[in-house]
Amino acid sequence: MVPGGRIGNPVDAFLASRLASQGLAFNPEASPRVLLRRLYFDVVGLPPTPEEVAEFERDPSPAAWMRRVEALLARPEYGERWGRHWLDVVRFAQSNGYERDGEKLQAWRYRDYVIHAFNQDKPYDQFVREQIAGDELAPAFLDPDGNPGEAWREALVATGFLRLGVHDDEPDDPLQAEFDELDDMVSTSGAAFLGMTLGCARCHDHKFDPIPQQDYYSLLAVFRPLKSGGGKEHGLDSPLFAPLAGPAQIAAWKAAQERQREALELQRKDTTNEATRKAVSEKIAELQKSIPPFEWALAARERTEAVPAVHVLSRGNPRSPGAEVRPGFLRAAGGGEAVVMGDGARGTSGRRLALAHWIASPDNPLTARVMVNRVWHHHFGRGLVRTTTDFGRVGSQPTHPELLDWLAGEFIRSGWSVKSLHRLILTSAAWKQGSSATNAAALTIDPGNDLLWRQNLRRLDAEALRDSLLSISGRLNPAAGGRGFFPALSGEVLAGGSRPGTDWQVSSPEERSRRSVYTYIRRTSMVPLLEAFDYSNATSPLPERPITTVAPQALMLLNDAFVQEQAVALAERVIREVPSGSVDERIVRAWSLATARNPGPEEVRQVSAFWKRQAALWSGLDHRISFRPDVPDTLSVPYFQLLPASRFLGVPGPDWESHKGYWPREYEGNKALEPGRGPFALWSGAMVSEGDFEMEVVPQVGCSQVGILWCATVSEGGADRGYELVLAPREGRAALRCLTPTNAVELAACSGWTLQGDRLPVRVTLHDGRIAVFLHEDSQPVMQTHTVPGGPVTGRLGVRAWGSGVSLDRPRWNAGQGPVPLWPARSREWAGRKALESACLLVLNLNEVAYVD
Amino acid sequence: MSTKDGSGKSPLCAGSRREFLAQFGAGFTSLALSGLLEADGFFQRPEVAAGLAVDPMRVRPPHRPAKARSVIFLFMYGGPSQMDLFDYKPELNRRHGQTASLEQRRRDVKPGKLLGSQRTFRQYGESGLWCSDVLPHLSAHMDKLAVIKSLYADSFAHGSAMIQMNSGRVLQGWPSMGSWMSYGLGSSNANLPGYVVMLDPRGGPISGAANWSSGFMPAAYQGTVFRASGNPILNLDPADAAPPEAQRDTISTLNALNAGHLASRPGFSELQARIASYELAFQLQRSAPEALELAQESAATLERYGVNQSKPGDHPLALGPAPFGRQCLIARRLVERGVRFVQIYHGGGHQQQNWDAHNGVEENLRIHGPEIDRPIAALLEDLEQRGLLEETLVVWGGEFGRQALSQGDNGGRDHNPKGFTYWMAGGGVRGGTSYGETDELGHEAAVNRHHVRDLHATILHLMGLDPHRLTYFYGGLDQKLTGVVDPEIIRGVLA
Repeated sequence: MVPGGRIGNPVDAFLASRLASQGLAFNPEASPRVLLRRLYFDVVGLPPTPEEVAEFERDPSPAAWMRRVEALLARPEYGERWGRHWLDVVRFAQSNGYERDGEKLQAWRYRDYVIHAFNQDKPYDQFVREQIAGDELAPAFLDPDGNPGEAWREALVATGFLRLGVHDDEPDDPLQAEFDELDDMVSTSGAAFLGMTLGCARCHDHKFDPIPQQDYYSLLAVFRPLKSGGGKEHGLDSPLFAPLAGPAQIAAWKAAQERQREALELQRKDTTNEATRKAVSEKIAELQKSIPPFEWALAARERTEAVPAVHVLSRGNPRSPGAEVRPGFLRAAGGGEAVVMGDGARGTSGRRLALAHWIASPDNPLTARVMVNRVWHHHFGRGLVRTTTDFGRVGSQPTHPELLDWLAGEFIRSGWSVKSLHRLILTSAAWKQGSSATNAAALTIDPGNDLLWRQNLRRLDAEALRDSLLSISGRLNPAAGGRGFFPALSGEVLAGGSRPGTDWQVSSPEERSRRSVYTYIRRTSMVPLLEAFDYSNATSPLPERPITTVAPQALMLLNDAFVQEQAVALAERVIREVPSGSVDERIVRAWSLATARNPGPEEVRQVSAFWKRQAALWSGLDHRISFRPDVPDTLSVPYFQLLPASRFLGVPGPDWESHKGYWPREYEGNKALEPGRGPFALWSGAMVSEGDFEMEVVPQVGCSQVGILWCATVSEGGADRGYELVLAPREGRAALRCLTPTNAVELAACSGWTLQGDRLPVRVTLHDGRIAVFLHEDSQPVMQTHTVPGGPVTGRLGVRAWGSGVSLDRPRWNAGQGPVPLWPARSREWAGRKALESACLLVLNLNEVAYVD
Repeated sequence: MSTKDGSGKSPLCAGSRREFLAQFGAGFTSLALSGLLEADGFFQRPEVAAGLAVDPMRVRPPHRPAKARSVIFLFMYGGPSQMDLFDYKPELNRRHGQTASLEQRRRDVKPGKLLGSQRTFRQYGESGLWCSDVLPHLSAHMDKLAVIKSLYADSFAHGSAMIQMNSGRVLQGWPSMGSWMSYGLGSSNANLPGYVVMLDPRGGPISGAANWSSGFMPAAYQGTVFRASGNPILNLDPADAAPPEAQRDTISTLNALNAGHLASRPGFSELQARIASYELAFQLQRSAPEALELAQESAATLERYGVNQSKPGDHPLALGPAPFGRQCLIARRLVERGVRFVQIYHGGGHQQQNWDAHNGVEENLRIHGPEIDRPIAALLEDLEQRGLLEETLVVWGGEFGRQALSQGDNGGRDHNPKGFTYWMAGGGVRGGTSYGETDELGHEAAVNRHHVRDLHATILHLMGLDPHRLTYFYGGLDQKLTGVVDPEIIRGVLA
């Protein structure tokens, strides 16, 4: 026993002795529940189920602990969790950025490669080598018969790392842009593998670290043989894409092409018919352009012509070349001029391979330490070196340099096994201690917890939070891999693009329930739910995520449609899992799913009382229907067509049909909405030609326009035809108008009315060709007019909303046979169900859900 | 805010950076609100603990006494034509139709036909500043403007030029100017976002949200898109149309439960900050829509901004002054309420939907001139009458200017970053100033030339920030809005 606390393994010895020197010790070990929850989030980024917690609480022995650790490290979700950490460091995204922000095709394969690499515990040195020079390593991975196997494919896909940077497809200065992309490779490689910030040496010798400008350009020379580009063209000579096919396959394809070509040439020679000759010539031309039917990787491709000489550039300006430099590595870190193994057979310069071997070497003083520190960072909320991507002088000094050295040594000795490193940390007393900050002496001596006398309380990162919601609701779709899914973007977010919705897709609800790591990442349309919780900016290497707490996060978790869907799903789940139980039992179930513990009696009482209040509220609203618009004024044409009408205007049930409204103008690939003629919904009930339409209109705060439609039909172009009472609730204006598919004729208008509380009672009557509008239960109409000769005489009832949602209380139609309600018949249980959904939303918002002790 | 402040440790590094990281925590939270919650018995007095969460939007003192408190940046997306608006070029007009060789894209000098302005220019006010007849209302306020005619930037292409005008670099990934302001100064109204962006109904600018990104800074510093009608902010209303009392109850119950959670974890200010953030979210649900309550404005004000003008019938792409007028009026209301940085994009989408007049500069001006003229004039007048102009910096301009040569068959003009016009008015600006000159054709900045970084430095300076000291540590460097080259404050426009 070393003074300072329990010793789980050698890690603790380093920490405990430092603590002891200050008269401190580790906190007591955390409870089994806390440990298991912490373990789940650390390792797989998902919460444990209450059953898993209960089982561990029954047997929290060290052996049981080891079984849990091993089981989690073996789960595919482990790679999804830890792969995502790596993606931050390498500025992963699936688009180029800038104006068009075109897709980086095949980039997803790199993401899948990273996940797979962590899952199979690929030795880290190999992982590094593959990303820098997988294409140069790959030939060695071919099967004896020359066929590419999995290892070969992985090595090639890994080099996508080099291609992930932003790419300006319309650069002001193409030469400068080419060097910007080379800089991106140098800087990102330095940051990711060496924990060094090299970018500053582009313009001058590094001010703080021993990196002369010459070293920077020597490193840049390593990447100089790469072709540059950002397009989408696949082909054997593509600058960006490599076929995932071995030399034999390619040769076979080429031979087949050649045979076909020869046959066609022969045919051309033989024919005398001019038309046939032309047709055959076209076929030959087509053949020559054809893309081999292989799978492709976004990968390193080197130029076949001579590599341009690289010079030190004065102030980074490619037009001010200074002395020529040879490829080489950082001299301060033991590097020097590269020993480049040019290999004619391989067809590459060998420069990157030499760099890869230099970086991924046990002799490199940085590589192992930097990775060990990253892993530590994610287990404790911060690294032994706080600045995980700045090991230079500007970065912070390690709090425990000997421990860092020892861990790095262990890491190398274990064969660069990241999973072994996890085992070491996860079985340490340091990691397992409680997080409470109540030790007065420790708070005085070490308030910043530099000495690790407690574990750190941590907020879930964006992905773990979103994935937790899905896991708790039971909706999580574990499907792995592929291009990724497209979260629904709200109108507010779409409006930010110059072609709103361009390059975005509509994914099914199942797809949208996949883990966050599979979100399609487009640099100019980041997903707000993730972004709000400090997601990667996906543009520059992000060493550590900041943790902010801001009001928009609360709005997101309370009001976002995705989160509300999870609350509804959680309510469904607890009803399903506690079929005959009381409300309180269901609340207990929801709570324990969310927090991995049963709520205390006081907590149950509070949620139960909340449920009762909400149930009373909703039961008073069982005659209510609601409509919610959600698109901007302008949409790109493809996305306009892709989005279902139900996304333009959400409707209260299947007896309402959404329509997109009138979008007459098309310009430069965008469609624009005719103001006032936005999306609307029609009731599928009876066609009406006469009668009274009554309701109380309850606009949400942001609602700028409400339309009450009758005698309404839909024209071929999607616009509505009929009569409409238009209400601008915030301005107290109303108008009556007759709609044709392309026009709206105002028949009458009035203003000056106000809402009565949150609502406006409205009655519209249509009898004998006369329309009258009554507000506030007044007996005198505020507007009265004749129907339009030749205008609509029959059609459906409908509603339009713009700005934000509107609810209608007790909407009913009376055509003389008594009022027909337009709201659905709701059982007595309905309000209780809505209240349970509210309670589930509440539970999902608990601090306890968002934080890990 | 310099990382060199007060840490007493080696320059730039560990100490100050850690301090900065420790600051993340409370978002729009205000101490006052925490106090209020405390009074409600929500939590015990927070104990001093590690990682004390401090509001990232907390008001921070400027480096020097500020001339302006807020910025309203009227961004003319697409690149307005300097020689048809403010930069009177009689020589260009005289040589209309003649051939000249000019740099049309980087290092691409080609002959073309000179296109004189068809607008009529006059001198206005005591200062005698030039303005064309495109902007008849604004021209009455020339004595308030400092017109800089000699700016230049680094890119002929929208994508990188937009990014540069907003973040100082042609490379995507750096924080935008509003983010720098929020980071440097914080926001004085906890119930509204500190950095607001309003967009044109015809669409956003190209590169979209990258233009108001916080880059490598925390997302809390990025611009918040604020809609001028409807729901101003994302997720302000519940998706399921729950009534406000339901939401109020949710937040109260939630925070009571969270207070219990906090009580068993004393000392964690981040947990307390999260409780406060829910309370603030509730405030935001009221305060944000309130900024849009134009019914509180007089009929004369609405009239002046052109808020109720109907869409003109003369061009299918023209919107008239109503949308931009509404946004300008909302911008005034926002700065009145303490919002630090408001950016309004005029023009959206592509081509003639914004100032990108490839297909005819006359048509372009006919569309866009009336859209901005009355609103900007009204904004300047309104700010002045309310005594707000002296503490609000109004900035007008696009990502670049346009060519002296004609493009296409309809008298279009191509992009031109070599010389273009910006103007500023209000806090700390010497009104009635014409500063700098382009060459006789209006093609290239010739006298008192200033790079975009100098404009940025001047704006920071007026806001009380020292462009050298406003730094953020990233990638091994103290990053600055103005980059590595020393900027020069454009002193000629300062009061």
